[in-house]
Amino acid sequence: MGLLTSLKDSITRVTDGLFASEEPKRIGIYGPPNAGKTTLANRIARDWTGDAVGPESHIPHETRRARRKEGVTIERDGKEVTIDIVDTPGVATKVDYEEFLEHDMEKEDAVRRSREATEGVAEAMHWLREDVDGVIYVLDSTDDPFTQVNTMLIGIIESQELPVLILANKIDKEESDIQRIANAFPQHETIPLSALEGQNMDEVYEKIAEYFS
Amino acid sequence: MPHECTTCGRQFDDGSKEMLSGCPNCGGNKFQFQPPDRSPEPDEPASPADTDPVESEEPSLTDQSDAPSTAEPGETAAAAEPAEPVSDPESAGDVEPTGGTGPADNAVDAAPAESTPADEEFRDAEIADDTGAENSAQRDARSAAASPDEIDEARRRVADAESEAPSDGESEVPSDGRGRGTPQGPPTETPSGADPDEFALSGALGPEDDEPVEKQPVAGSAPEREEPVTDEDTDLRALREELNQQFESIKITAPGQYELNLMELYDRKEYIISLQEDGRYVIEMADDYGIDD
Repeated sequence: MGLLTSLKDSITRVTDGLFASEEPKRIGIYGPPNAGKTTLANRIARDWTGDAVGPESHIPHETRRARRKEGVTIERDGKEVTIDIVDTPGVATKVDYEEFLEHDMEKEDAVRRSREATEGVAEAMHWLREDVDGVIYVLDSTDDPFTQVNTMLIGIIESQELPVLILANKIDKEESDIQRIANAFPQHETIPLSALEGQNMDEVYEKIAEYFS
Repeated sequence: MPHECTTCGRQFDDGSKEMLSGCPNCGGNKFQFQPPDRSPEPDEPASPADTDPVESEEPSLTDQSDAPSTAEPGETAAAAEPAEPVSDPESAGDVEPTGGTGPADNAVDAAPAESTPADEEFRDAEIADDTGAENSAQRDARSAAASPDEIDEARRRVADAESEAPSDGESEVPSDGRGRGTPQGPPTETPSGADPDEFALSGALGPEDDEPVEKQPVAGSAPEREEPVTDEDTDLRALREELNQQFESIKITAPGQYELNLMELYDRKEYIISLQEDGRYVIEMADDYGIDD
């Protein structure tokens, strides 16, 4: 009997251990092309797991399939959150191969990239509908945030009542205008950062732990 | 029977929703689009008038109201509008600035209402005619910002566009039909020498003007696109147009140039995960995700 009891206890402990911590939340990194989503995803993943998520590039639509990094545990100020990061393709309403020609790409490659990017947007939208528990929305703070893509996506995210963190990226650039982004989405907190340079990542992690735990 | 399962060969009607849940026979999710029986008219004159009868022969393709259930009449009409200067890309953004109750709900409830921002933007985007326009449109789409003034103006335009839409649609019916589903030329000898780019399910909006030109090129009748017109071209264009009609979430305006209806993409359980050449496409089905909704 004692044996059975202790066996039962240990099973209970194991199952408790399994289910004590909730399933990691799946956090989608969204935003327009070239906002620095993959750079951010890589920085987060490197900081907390040592691995990268995917290749970065200055050419738009480098990420054309959603990439996931699972089980990233972030600790800040006693808060801990384990998330699955999903780096999504940049969302655009138009994809034009000519844009890629400017980056010394052959037409054939540009057209293919264009098609893949289009599929990527479809995938990103699908993830948003089905598969994310929260969103990190990355904006290039040197660009004007009042675009249809941004308003539409933020609108969708809000309507889904997903927790969303708005990041004003690329603050290392002179033209960066954080306030413009804060003004565009006053209903949300805007966190400035440079994913490339690692500026203000402490606050970013703090907010991730706060928003998504 | 324009759609065929590439696994078991089962065929589906134009606009069939069956296939959106996978092939009922084999569960396959890869389909090939086959243009419907073509009416060979080798000496197809170039005048639009002659294309109209053909259109009536193919009502399921050309008639807006018979369009597949996934395609909204209004939208397809608008989609085929080559140069409707209705709205700016920005206009869409300003339509849904609210968030909260938001676009998603709207889209779900009113998807057929053709009032989603992306639709407006599509109308605007039907400028498949010159690269200058495309450049600016594309630039806009990526980063364009709208000033408050522009937003107001765009809002007005959206309103206008909505009220105009029906009449636009009507007026476009002839050319729409011409372009869309009526490959009037001799059924394709498969495009052997054509540029692969040309097959990329693209040029959806180009066909209207080109198509009649297939046998008797008439310079003046093809103001929109400059590419040499061949039977293959017209056939493929018709095919692209057909696909565009069915999956209005992604429009292919020219090879390598796409316009995306984000709301529509967001709104669908199924979506195209692979746009392939020659009318093939792969649908990812909702079931594959194991999501319980």
